[in-house]
Amino acid sequence: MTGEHHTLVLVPLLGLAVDIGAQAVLCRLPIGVGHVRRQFASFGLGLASSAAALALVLRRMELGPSDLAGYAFLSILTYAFVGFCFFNLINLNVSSLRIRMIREIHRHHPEPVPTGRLSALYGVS
Amino acid sequence: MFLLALAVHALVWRVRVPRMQTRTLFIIFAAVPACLALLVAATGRPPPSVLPPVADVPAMGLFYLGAVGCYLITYAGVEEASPSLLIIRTLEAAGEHGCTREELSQVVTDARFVAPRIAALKRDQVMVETPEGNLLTPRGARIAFVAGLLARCFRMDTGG
Repeated sequence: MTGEHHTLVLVPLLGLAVDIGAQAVLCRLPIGVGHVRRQFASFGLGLASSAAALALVLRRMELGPSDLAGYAFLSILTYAFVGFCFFNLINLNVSSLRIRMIREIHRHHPEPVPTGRLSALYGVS
Repeated sequence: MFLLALAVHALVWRVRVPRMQTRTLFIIFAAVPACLALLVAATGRPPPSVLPPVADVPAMGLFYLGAVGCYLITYAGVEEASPSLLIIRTLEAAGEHGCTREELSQVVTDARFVAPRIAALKRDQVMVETPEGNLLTPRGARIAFVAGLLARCFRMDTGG
């Protein structure tokens, strides 16, 4: 097993770290940009970092064109997968009714929350 | 490997849809690579060419984990009826005439969206219902803590 193969697994993880860091910074900047745009911008920064790291790693590996394309595709797709997972994870607070219910009950702890109040979260009667 | 796990998932669902679907999916997606690894180890031969070389296992493993994560997220979205999807479908069906707010409120009902999710939370032992109302179990409290932490870290409380 070569060292470069080990480094290859770090490429998407580096991208994810940049994505997470950028997101944490961007959401604190008073730039008046919505959640989704900030998330796409962070994802883009992560993607750019992944691509740069990938180029460095692949340059050190002596590979044929098909292997080169395969490893590049694998790394970028893996970054897209983990980025998608992260995007959904942090959006659960907004998009998941179950998580919103759980947080609503947690907010009122130790007082029990009637089902009617949970229903009101979605504004239906 | 992912396709094999997907085939097992389809097969199990054809026989009987499990009560705890997400947990069963986790088990299937963990068991398939574990079984394959055991099979390769038990035969004592080099892995067949359809499997990645040993040097690529970490990268392929991360790829597999990412793909499984995406699949589970997508599956969780369609497991219960989604209000947004139903609203879109209703608007699409209405065509140029569109829908009034009242018509949409007849589609998005408690019975359709809230009740099944409350039932799922109880079934997954995330919350319990008492005569006074609903309370979180320790598991539910942990989920709420993590969700709250993420919301604070990424300022997600201001949206939605």
